[in-house]
Formats: sequence, structure tokens, C-alpha cells
Amino acid sequence: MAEYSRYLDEQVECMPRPALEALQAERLRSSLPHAFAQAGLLRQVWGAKGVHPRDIRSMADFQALAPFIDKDDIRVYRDRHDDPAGGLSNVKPPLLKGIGFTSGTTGDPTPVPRAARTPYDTATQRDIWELGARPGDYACRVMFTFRYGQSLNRFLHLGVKPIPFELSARELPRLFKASLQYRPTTLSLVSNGLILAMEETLDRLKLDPLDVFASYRGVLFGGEPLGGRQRALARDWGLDMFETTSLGDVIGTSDCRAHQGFHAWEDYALVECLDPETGQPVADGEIGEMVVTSLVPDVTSLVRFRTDDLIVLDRSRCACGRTHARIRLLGRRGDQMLVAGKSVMPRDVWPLVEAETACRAGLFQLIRPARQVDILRLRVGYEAKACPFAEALRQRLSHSIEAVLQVPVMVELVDNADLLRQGPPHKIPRVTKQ
Amino acid sequence: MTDHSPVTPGASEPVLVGRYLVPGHDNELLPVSQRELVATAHFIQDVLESFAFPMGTPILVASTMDQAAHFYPLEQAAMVMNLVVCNAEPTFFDANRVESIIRRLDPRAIIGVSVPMLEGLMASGHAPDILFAGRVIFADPAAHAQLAGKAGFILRLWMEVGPALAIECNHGRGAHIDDREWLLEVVEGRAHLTSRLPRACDFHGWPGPGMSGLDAAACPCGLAHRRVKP
Repeated sequence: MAEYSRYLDEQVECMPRPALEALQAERLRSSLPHAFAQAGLLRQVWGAKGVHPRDIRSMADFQALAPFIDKDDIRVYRDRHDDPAGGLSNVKPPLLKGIGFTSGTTGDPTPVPRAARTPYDTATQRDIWELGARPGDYACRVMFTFRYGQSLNRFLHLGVKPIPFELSARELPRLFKASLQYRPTTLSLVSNGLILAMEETLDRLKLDPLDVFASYRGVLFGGEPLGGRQRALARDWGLDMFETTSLGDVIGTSDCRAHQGFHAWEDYALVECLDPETGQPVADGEIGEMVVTSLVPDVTSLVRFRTDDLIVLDRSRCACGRTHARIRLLGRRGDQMLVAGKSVMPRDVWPLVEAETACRAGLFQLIRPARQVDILRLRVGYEAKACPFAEALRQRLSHSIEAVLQVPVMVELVDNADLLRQGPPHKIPRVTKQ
Repeated sequence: MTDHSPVTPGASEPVLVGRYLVPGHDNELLPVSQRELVATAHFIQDVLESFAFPMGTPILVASTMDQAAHFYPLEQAAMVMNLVVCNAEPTFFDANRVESIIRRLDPRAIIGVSVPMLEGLMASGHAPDILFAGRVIFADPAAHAQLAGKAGFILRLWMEVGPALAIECNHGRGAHIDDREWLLEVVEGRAHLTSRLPRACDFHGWPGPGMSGLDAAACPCGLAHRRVKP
């Protein structure tokens, strides 16, 4: 078998920071006019501020002058101009090949135009490589199609042989069968719900997880934070779990074998961590909002896109040897609540909910009628059929959450099945107004 | 039908593992070669070209990942034809996305319509025949049976026949099956497939779904492929 490098693109993934930053500056210089030409929203927002790409001669100019855009700007442009691309693209066929959609967890799905070859595909290949897939390997691929269609090129073009599955618990017997038959080296993408369904299905089929998963070098997890219970289960099964999320819809971002944060591929995207109120950069290690700019040509043009994600950025060299920044994701700024003056995010509640066996699915919602409230109201899912003493469970949850978060808590229990109807099949909104 | 194993390892190198329907049994996971993906894409393109969709026409492709052996080639064919593929899943839960895509992007064709999708649309208050008005609807056999007889749209069949695909052209006289790839026999009302060209696995009388007939008469679309009816 051929020996392959630890990295897919070693020269880029490990390039010294000064060289990486020079590359970013050059790519920004060349991509801005392209973005400006194709995105009506950028022309509108930049025009309102009296800024033009020719005014941007350096990264410092960019940070001082370039206006921000956010999801609301895109939605407003979309509705006002009847433009499905939300003013981010004027690319037409034959360059425009497809339109995918966001999950729609919190509203009408947002269209995402795409070309034949997307930066998402090429950047994701580095993550697939880091998971441990190599040419000739089989790779189980569990995914929805609404975002990127039958997104297999990222595997096929690496010489990795995908085994695709629907993102559904009913696929698990076939996934286990394929794991034993083809001995794949990677699995992407699993969710908290799927891991719990794996536990039940392995038990029902009387399969030994250490045997079923023996060939896997890495498993990619995404969609929401990996729950503590699920992480422990995966560890018991001998699985090395890697988390992934979206880098402001420009590309994906995943952690590496060192598991010290999501690697942002900074040759594809400029990532800024800014004070949400002032728009000024915060120091590495401090909490700020992630703002992303695409540095490579694509059919959509995101420039200084405020993601609403609160992050901590780390630009020191990773233990894996890569120099690209790492991101620790804290949650959505719009999800943050101030309960009796104390900050509470869904991540704070998660481990406390799933610690109860009846709530191990980790299904819950923060009720957020306003950012500042006096009492933390929680809607928590539980296995109603398996839990006859719901009131005792409700009281235990209230007490344990109050004890850890040190805020007043009111818990409402609902059947898991009812809570799952609140969102698309893959995840539920974690924060709701009522 | 042959009496030996219906599938044996083939000469072509696999590039992915597909999911094939086996009536009355669990679905089979079998390897697929690059040549097969290209051949499937060419077949789909040949059939879709009978509709003469103009360049840039949006089409809605409803598929799940496990259907990749057929829907990945469909997306490749659509790209070659310069159609714009909009994606959703043919599930009950994704019916709202289907409605949203139809409302906002006005796709000329919807490929992969299933019964769960129809049920999801109705459960969310959308009458499928109203949403589908004026469009070409490629439905699987069960959804096709539900939609048959409804007016206002062009209903065509999109059918998995084990590892093969059968698609109706614009003329709607039965679903074409790729005769270059497959020798299809209907024995006692059931399809049996034998592969003709090199594949990652060779098929010998692979059992397919029930068939009412096989039509070898010339089709007005000009394709030489024979046509089947469920």
C-alpha cells in the first residue's frame, strides 16, 4: 500500500503565518472586485457607506472600511428584490449548476447557489484526509442531500470509495453490515440522535461495537455540539470523534487529531473575531463574533459576513503541526440569554439535561421571549413511555440546573416525539420565543 | 432466469457502493464502477433530452444519499445539460422544502416524487396536483399510481429496477431501460436483469420488481431502449 503524507496539502496547511497572511492579502485583493461585481447586496451596502473595492489596498484598509453584512441583510434583499440568492450572486447558467438549501431549522430554508466544483468540496477534502481516509479506502457517508445534492465528488476525486446512506436511524442495520463487509476507515456525518440510535440498534442486533467499528480511523460529528454522553459512548466503541461545523457558509471547518478546536482553512476564508458591539478585533483567546470573508472565487460572495457565532480564536501553531487558526465555538450570539444578569447559552444546559437517563437524547429548548429574563424557562424532551414519574424528573432537572447555573429555572417536560416535531428531522431549534 | 448466483465480482474497479432494491428482501449494498456511473448519466441525459428543457431550467431533484448510484449520475447529467439542480429529500419531513422550492424557484420538472413526499405535502396543507401544475413530474411507481389520472401536469415514471433505472421519456409510453447495459427478461410477471458490459459486479438474472410487460416497439423519442411498465 502506498505511503501517504500526514497532510493532504502540507505546504498550505503548515505554511508559516506570515506567508499565510500574505496569501490572504493577495487573494482578498484579487477576489474583492469579483465579489463586488456579482453581488448586488455588496454593491448596495458598500455604496451606502461610500466604499469601493479600489479603496481597499491593504488588510488594514479592509478592516477599517469594509462594511458588514448579516443574514437579515440577505433575507431583506431576497424579499425586496425577489432574488433567491439574496443579492450574493448574479451567476447564471452554464456556471450556475445547482441551488442547495440551508436546513431551515429556524425559518424558511435559505437558497445556496453552487457551481460544478465548490470551495466547500475542495476544502472538505482536507478534513476527510485528516479523518483518516486514503485512496482505495471505503468511507461511510451519512448525509442529507438538500444542501449539496449527492455530494460525492469530495470522496471520488480523492480515490476514496463512498458508501452513502440516508441520514436516518432506519439505515443503521445496513451501516453496520457495510462496516463489517467493506471495513471503511471513516464515517461522516453523525449526530447526537444517530449515536443514541446506534446504541439501541447495536443492542437490538446483538452486535459488538468494537468489532463493527474496528476499521474506523475517524468519525465526523456535526449539526450541533457533541453531547457528553454520546462522546463517552463513542469512546467506549473505540471511535475517535471529530466535530465539524460551517465556517460562515463559505466552507466547512473541522477539528484535527489534536482536538483543540475547529481548523479554519484560512487560504479559503478570512476569519475575524470581533467585538459584537464595536466591530473591533478582540485578542486571541477572548470571546468575539466570527466574521467571515470568502477568499476564493465562488458563485456566492460573502464579504465580512457576520455569522452570529460567538467564538474564541487561536492562531498559535496546533499540536498537529498546522498553522491555520483554530476556533472554539461557544454558541450563537442570538441564542445568548441573560437570566437574572447571568449569561446562559444552550451549551451550558446540554450536559445537565442529558445526564438524566430519560432525557439522554439531549432534546431541549430555551424559551427566550427577550434577551434578559428573570427566570430560565426550559422545555425538555423525555422518553414519556419509559418514565412514569415525570413530576419527580421535572423537579430533579430543575434543582440540578439551578444548582449548576445559579439562576432560577422553570422546566416544562414534553415527550421527545413532540419536541422533534418542532424542527426539521435532523435537529430542533434550541432557542425559541415561546 | 439462470440458476447460479445472481451477482458475482466484476472486472471493473469499484468507486462507490450503491444500494439496490431487492423485492421482498433487504436492500443490497453492491459496488459500482466509474464506467457505470458515466453510462447511467448518459442514459439519463438521453431520456431527459426528449423533454427539450432549455438551458438554465431549474429542476427539483428529490433524493436521499442512499440513492446515489442513480441520483449522482442524474445530477451529473443535469450539469452537462446546463439545467439548474435544486435539492430536497423525498421524505415526509422535507415536504415543506419541496413546497418552498416550487414557490420560489419554479422548477420545470420534479424528479424523485415519492408517496412520503405526497403525504408530507398534504399534511402541511399543500395539494400536490396544484403545486405540480404545469410541471413534469417523475414519480416512483407507488407515487405514480397515486397521481395517475390527475390533470394539470405531465406525469412520468422513474423506477429503480434493482441496479438498473427505468425512466419514461416525453412520450410516456413506458419507462425506457438501458438496453446497452442490461438484458432484461420478464419471466412470470417479474423482471430479471443480466448485465452486458463490464461492471464492478456482474448480474446474472438479478430479480427485479413485478412487470406487466416489455415493449420493444420503436418509441417516437428515437431511443432504441425498450420500455417496461410496472
